[in-house]
Amino acid sequence: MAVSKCPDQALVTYSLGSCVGVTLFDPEAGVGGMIHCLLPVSKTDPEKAKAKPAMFTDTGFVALLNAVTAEGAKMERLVVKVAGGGAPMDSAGRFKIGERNYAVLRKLLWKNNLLIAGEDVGGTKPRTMRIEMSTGQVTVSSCGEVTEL
Amino acid sequence: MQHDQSEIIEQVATEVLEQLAFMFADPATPDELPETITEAYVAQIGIRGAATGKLTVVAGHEICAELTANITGEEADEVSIESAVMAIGELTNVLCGQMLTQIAGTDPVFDLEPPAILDHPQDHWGALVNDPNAVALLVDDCPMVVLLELKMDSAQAA
Amino acid sequence: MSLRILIVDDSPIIRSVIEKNIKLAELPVTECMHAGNGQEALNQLDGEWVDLALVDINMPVMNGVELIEKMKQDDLLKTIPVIVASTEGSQTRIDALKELGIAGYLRKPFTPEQFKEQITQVLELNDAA
Repeated sequence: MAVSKCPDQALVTYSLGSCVGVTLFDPEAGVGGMIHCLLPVSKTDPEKAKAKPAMFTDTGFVALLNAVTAEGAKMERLVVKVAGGGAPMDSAGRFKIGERNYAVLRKLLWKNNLLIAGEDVGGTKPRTMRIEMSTGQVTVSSCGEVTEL
Repeated sequence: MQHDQSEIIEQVATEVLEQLAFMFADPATPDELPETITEAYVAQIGIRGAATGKLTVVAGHEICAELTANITGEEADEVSIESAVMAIGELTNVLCGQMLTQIAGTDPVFDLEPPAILDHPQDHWGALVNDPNAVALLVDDCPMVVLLELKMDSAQAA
Repeated sequence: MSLRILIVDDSPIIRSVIEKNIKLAELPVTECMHAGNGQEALNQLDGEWVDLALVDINMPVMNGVELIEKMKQDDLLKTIPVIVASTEGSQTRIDALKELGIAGYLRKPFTPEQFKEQITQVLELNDAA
């Protein structure tokens, strides 16, 4: 998980397969953050969740939300973008981790009155997600192609 | 045919629970289900039109509280009994519409009755768990049983 | 611009979910009115103007199809755009509702993003007309 309010920075996360990547950005405060969550729910390993909340989508998203608001972002201005949550070829749909990461995220967004402004989710391709802190622009690159969310 | 229908019901139930209520369902074997259930809701929807029948869903109270909280976006401990009853009714309504399309396609027209909540859930649980056509699920590790009884109208099906 | 929206669904929790979706869509809505079935909706519309009606199909007393038919027979009510929000999956029935002149259709379960897109599209089209 990373949070920034430096306009000359960019936050990047690589190899989003079944993992879910989320960016939050408040354009007015210039505060943003990014998280890369591996597993949907922390109850599967509460000890690990305590040590590394960002590893799980449920605890990770809440931690990210708290971190960006602590830096001055306002909930009602947050722009949410999502990438990943796929089913990579090597996982053979095992335990539907990608789908479940995405569903847990949707639950938290609904509870927190947030909509997704852009997403690139599902499928089998690995993704790299990047947010420019100067503009909040989010791009996803995969297999040589770059898409703006 | 019945086997295919069970697979469709299982798949639709899994998808609807995930999309409507952000809950995860896995197929359950009979030995994973309790023989009796003390606190449960039974929702039933009558089907008319291109087919006649009914869809019955039985779910334990604890799933219904979370189901309701997730649908509405409130906290599970704030959920009232009235809301939980409405939520299981709505789940049954959405399941019914989605299952009928998956089973019969998008051409036939069905009329669904508003969901009814039945008394004596224990009796329904016993009957449904032992029905070979019922589909059993573990929803976030809690049992739920779904039974679709459908008789296609031969005139319309032809 | 300020909008009044009528939500017609027999489930109070679904009406509140739809109201939450309306708020999340960030529309200039001043009032959301609720009705539990088609007849209640007609009673509300007798003397009250709304800019949009969101209508479920399967309801007791008077279902959504009957409500829409009655609205379309009325010179004033037929101008109110109707979005059907239902679990209905029969294309035959959806086509019949489109023939009757519904402005949009949302199949349950829908996401708040799908809701926002549909409602914004219908209101913009209506505004342009």
